[in-house]
Amino acid sequence: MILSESLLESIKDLTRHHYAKCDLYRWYVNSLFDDFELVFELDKLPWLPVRAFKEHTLKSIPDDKVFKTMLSSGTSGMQSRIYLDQQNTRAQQLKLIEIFTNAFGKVRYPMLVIDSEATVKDRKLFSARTAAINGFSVFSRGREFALDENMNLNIEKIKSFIDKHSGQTIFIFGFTFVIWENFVRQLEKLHSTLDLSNAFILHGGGWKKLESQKVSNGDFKDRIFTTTQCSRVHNYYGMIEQTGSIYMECEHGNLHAPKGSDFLIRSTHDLTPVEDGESGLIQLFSDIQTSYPGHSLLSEDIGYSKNMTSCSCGSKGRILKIIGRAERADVRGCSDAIN
Amino acid sequence: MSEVAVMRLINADQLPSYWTGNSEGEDCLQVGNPLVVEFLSELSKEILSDKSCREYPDVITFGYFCRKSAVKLALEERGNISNFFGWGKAVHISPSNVPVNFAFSFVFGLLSGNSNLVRLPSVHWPQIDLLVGIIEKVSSRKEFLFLRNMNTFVRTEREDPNLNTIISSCDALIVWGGDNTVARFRQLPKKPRCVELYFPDRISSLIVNSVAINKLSDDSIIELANSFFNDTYLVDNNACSSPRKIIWVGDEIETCEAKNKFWRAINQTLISKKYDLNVVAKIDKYLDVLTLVSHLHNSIRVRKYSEDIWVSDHNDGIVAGRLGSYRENTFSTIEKALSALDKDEQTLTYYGFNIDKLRELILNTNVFVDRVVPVGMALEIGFYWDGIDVLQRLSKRMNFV
Repeated sequence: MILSESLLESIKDLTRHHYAKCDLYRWYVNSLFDDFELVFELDKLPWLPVRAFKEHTLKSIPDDKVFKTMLSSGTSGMQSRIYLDQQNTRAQQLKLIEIFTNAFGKVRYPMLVIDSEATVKDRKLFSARTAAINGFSVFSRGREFALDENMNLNIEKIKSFIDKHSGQTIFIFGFTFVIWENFVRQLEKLHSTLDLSNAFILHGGGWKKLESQKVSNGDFKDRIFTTTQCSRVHNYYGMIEQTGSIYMECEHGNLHAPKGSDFLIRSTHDLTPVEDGESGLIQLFSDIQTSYPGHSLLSEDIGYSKNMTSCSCGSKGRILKIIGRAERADVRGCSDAIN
Repeated sequence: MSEVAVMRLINADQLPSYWTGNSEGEDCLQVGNPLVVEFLSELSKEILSDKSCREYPDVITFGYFCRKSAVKLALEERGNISNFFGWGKAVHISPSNVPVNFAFSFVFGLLSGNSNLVRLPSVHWPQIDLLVGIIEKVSSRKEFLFLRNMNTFVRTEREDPNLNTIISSCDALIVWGGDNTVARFRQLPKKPRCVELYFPDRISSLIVNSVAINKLSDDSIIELANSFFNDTYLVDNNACSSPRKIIWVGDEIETCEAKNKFWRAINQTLISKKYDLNVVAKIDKYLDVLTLVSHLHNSIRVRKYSEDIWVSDHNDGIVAGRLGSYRENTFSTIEKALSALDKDEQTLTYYGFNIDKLRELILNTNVFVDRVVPVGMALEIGFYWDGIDVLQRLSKRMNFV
């Protein structure tokens, strides 16, 4: 498994930084990991389970420096709380701009959001969807929401938006399952089609709901093409705990690690790193997390790395393939009795 | 007599007739009713001769538990029981995470002379279907048919209102579960005379003689490791009677050597048994430590013999061990070791000590554990559990003066 050498120093610096600034992180690291100063491999450096942010307050800035708190979508129980200061907020924005412009150019597009405006209205608490929509809105010049407050398609609004911007490339953004349920499926039910041949779609948020309906990325793209004639569909992989550092799907269908990020795959058996092509838990490194210890996280997603030094898309970022979520099997014992 | 299935889904209109009072039969029997003893004996034979049961050591243990000789021994210990009878209708709430626990609870109720309604866990453990199937089969023999009218196994939703209705009319309630489960069932309305038995979360320890470990041959240490495995990893080190604290008795040098030898043997055993904890639970262990250090406001030193064996020697009163995470402490004498036990511990397993000496020491100190058993027997449930004489509590004594 090849991991970028230069990242080692920045991840180590961040480990040192959070170790000094976050008591809980220091107690945790001291309890479970070897002295990181004496470690020279990324996989030996401390990591936190992504779920840690659901159950604990982990931040490396004083309370009065908290600029905003982001919450995960929390579909299943508790929500992650991510504390950001202005500096980290800015770093996330810059990272996102870097990744977006690499993929789609330094242009601002008319943006059609496949969501309801109500989703972004609550400014106090940033949900994953709010954060994503607002984050990507920096690439917009004129924004429209495709759904009403009941998440129903507003065809007239969409059509007039397309007419208004005819001849321009339209940037369509939404969460994967919202695009599927409230856009593609609704268009199909209405026996309606749109001409979005001049648009590109960016979507993220996970495949869990589509997986349960047995919808693959290929099916997803096909059905989008049939209903909208849009052929440029890009997925991204990212999590609220590492906002900004997203893995973008290139035109060859590969998710690439962005600059300043990398990942490794750990065996589900003993958590040791595995080779390219072998599946396991995805551990994510990112070098922009300064206000909270989110620079080295073990996710509960299962995936593998693809052995390819470079992709014909031109990106140098290592390729990540996602398989799905790790399943919680029933652990034995009598602590947690009735359910 | 009508043909009744022992297994059903619960529905108010599907309640067994003995429950609604329309029963042709009784709802209670004498403790140790000969036909019940015979039924258990036949059940035991069926389990021990069934090929598919052999895959499950816990099912086999249950099979041995029901043997005629074992049951008779338990009854004989009580002397004359001719004037002891069940209370009537007993409801059992079994834990979702110990597959065969429901069956032991059922036998507790049955042998005490009660009619039983056993709420099965929603988790579909293969052991449950296997055992219910065998109970179904044996109880369909002519001589045991009356038992089908007195005993039911049900599956319900967690918050099924029918379950609450049933509990409001039962004569005995047996609840196995975490503290939250216990609290919930304690609050439910019940008959004024309802007898309630609760088996909540408990902590257990292992006490080991370092010198005895160091003397063990390679074969014997593996044998010991297998016994320890059966106490712990067999249930992901997550049962109340699985030791989470390891108490070493010996001097520092001896104990250091013994610890290494012991945990290495455990590791070997885990490898040879291909033990593999669910991956999400592996991550839970990291989160357990995070939670523990956030309470302690300090770090603990976790030694990892492998991803499945974590040992920490902190001594801050909190035991968070489960899933193969242990706390271990060393004491120079057994007296000091015993005095370090918590007040409300359940099972003390031991290795390298004489039981008579342990008994004498324990009875002369303020140690109030419920049971003291050799390594390998931690999970062997019996008619005395959590300090409760189960047969006695689940039956009434008629007094003749």
